[in-house]
Amino acid sequence: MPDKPTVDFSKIEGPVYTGRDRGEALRTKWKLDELERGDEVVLVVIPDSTYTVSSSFFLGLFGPSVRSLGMDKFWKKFQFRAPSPLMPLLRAHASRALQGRQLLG
Amino acid sequence: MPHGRCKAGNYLANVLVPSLGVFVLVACGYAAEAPAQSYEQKATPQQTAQAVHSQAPLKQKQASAPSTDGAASVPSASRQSKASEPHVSASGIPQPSAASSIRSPALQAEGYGDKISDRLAPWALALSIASILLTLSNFIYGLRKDKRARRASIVDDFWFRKVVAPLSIEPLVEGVLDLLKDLPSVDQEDEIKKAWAQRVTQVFIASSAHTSLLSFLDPALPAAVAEKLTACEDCLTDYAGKLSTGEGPDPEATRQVAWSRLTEALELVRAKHLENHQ
Repeated sequence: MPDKPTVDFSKIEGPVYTGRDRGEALRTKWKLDELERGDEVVLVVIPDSTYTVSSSFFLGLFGPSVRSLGMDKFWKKFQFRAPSPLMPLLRAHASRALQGRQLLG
Repeated sequence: MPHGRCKAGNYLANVLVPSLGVFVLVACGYAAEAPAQSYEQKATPQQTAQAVHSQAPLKQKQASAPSTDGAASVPSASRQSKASEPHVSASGIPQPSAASSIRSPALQAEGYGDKISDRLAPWALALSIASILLTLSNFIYGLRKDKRARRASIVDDFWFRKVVAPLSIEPLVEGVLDLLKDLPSVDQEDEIKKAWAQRVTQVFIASSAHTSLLSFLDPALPAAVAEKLTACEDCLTDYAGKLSTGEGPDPEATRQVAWSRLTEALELVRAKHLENHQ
């Protein structure tokens, strides 16, 4: 059984992940556009040593996917394994990706 | 309109023009009351002599007529001088002499007999009407300006002071100030550094929701402010990251940069607020 495609934060420098440019660069590097179009679920692994993930980094890396899939499908497509204190922060980042679109209707 | 021009315009309309109109009216009034003989006194000596000489045949006729009061022995020149003196009527009111009321044809042809007030009257009237109209227009402008200011105070200021500022700006400033106050040092435990880093993210997540209220001032303002706040968040988060590697980042430099980004965001709000009130 083939492994699920995985986005592993431990392969990049931490313990904080910041910067929209950095997130966009990693999206290109990990080919998230192709993974998003595929049928398989993508596993996102965030190590326990992580301090925090800033909104700019998350929006650069996952923002386009949130906007194209919508909230529910995004969380079904990308399964996150992260420290429990970070999950509310990640959900808030995902909501912010849709915030501008909702205000404009 | 710039504030300086507005003040100068108000001074011009409220003080200078009405005062000038009143001054011109009063000056014309004094000119109208000036005695007519003062203008004859300005005539040249030659014109006056001519005027007297033109009346000399009339006086000679009067002098040659027999008089019953014995005044015939009086020389005619003295009689002419007496004739030029003002005499008192039966009621005791001094009357102007015949000579004093003489106007030479030359003087009348040049219009020196017309009063200056007659020439100034149209100008004074026009200026007075203009000053009255300007005062009325300024009064109406003042009423409209007061109405506009009342609306701005009730509607715009209410929303900004009671809704936008307390819910979006104040929590943001307080949150960032607390973060800067609690900036961890490199020798503190990892759990403290981690907790502080997560606080940074939480503060800016909350600010993102609150700054959406800035759309009351301008629909594009929340996005512009969010850009500045993202830079502030990244600055503080990078500081936390450098703590973990033991690099020993400069806390004062981090405070300055973070505070600068925050004040830039606040400046956007302030500028938009002032623009809405111009």
